Amino acid sequence: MDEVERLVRASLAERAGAAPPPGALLQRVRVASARRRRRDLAMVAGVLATVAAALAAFAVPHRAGRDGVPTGLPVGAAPSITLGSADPYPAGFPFTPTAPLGDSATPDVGLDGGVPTLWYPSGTVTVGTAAIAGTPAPVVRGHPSVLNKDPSGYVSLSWREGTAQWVTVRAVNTLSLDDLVTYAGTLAPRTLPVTVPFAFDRVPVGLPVDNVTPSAVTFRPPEVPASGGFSGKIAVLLSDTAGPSPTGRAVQAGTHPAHLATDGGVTVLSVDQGDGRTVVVQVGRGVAVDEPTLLRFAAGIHPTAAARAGKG
Amino acid sequence: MSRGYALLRFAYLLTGDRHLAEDLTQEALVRAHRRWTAIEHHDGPEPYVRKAIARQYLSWRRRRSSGETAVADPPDRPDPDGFTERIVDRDAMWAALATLPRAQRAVLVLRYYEDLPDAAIAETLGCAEATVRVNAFKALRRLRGVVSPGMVEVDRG
Repeated sequence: MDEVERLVRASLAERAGAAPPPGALLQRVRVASARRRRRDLAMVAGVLATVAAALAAFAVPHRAGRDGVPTGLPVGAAPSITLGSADPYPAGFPFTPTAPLGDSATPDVGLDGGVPTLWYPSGTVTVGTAAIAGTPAPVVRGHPSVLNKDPSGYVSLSWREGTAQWVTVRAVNTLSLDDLVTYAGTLAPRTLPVTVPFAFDRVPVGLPVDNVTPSAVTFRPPEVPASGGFSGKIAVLLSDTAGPSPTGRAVQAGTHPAHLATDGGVTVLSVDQGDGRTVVVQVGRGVAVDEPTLLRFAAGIHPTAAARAGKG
Repeated sequence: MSRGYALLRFAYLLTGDRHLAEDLTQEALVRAHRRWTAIEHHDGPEPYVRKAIARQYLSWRRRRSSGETAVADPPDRPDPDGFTERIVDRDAMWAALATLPRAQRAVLVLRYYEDLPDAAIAETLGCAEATVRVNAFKALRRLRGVVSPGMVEVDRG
């Protein structure tokens, strides 16, 4: 084994410590599994209902034509989402930094799994409601704080601001505790608007947004808990590398040529923006969206000047 | 589920993204959960779920680009023991791993983190052993070209 192989092994062993904690994984697996089982049962019931309807129409000719099958979705499946006009974005981040974190003074502002978040090259700042324990650290903004370190080389400084807000500054450990405390002291209590990647003419009704980054927005069904992932949600992404799937077919989303493919219950609509970028709308398993609704939704998505294409 | 964290670590090393790792692991566990009885009577759930995570990773449709960012040039700090230098080397290696094609990265994670022999890696990824060796060779060659020359010493076996 040479030095590069040893370095690979050491790097992987060290980085494994930065994996997300299992937390509510078991609960999410159970919820998702139960939802798919219900969906499968609904599909079976739908097929049976269709067969029964066909038999009834055959047996009673004068009723034929009244048992119409809705287009775009199987009978018995959940009805498609509907679209409405509303501002999908959260109010923003409740604090405005007035000094840089590390070398950067201009964070991206968004939502990560429902949590308002600032992203810097050297760390993040989040505002959640869950209490955070750790090693006692200096007073921050007049509040007692706690410090946590993780094996991936990040340190987190957290404190409770107000009655229910827990603010956490997480940064690479090349920044000192003093750096973090100093930065925390510069947070002014005024809202910093979200970095909006897309303007939406229409949004899914009843599906709140739980992730907003410069390249992606996700809408989650109410029964899907807020998380940083895209599974079981409608995700809208801007990509400069996405190409059409080898399967699927060409469609039209408003004035844009598009490509629609379904694989393993996940529907992916890739809309060519004509400038080398693609808006990808990914409809996760269990989310019912019929094709006309999906195309109408996609036709009303417009990348903003602040959007940054991802590599996916 | 007590091994859930191990699976999350595996998924994280494949993707380099905490959210994607959660997605991959959750999806694999949901599939496993629905046919648990058959899996339990086969090789056990963990190899099955690990295989599902690896194969799903290889065919995953989208990746998130935001989130965690490798820090290329950390600020200078006093470092009498060379600790920072070792950290920077591993950071550089982690960043270099992110540039590999997925199949090559998967082979390295299975070989150097999971410590699997090539035959087991081939079984996990659904390819031939020769393909595993080729991917490992190409990945290491690429890493040797990416990381700084000072980090690489002669092969001592």
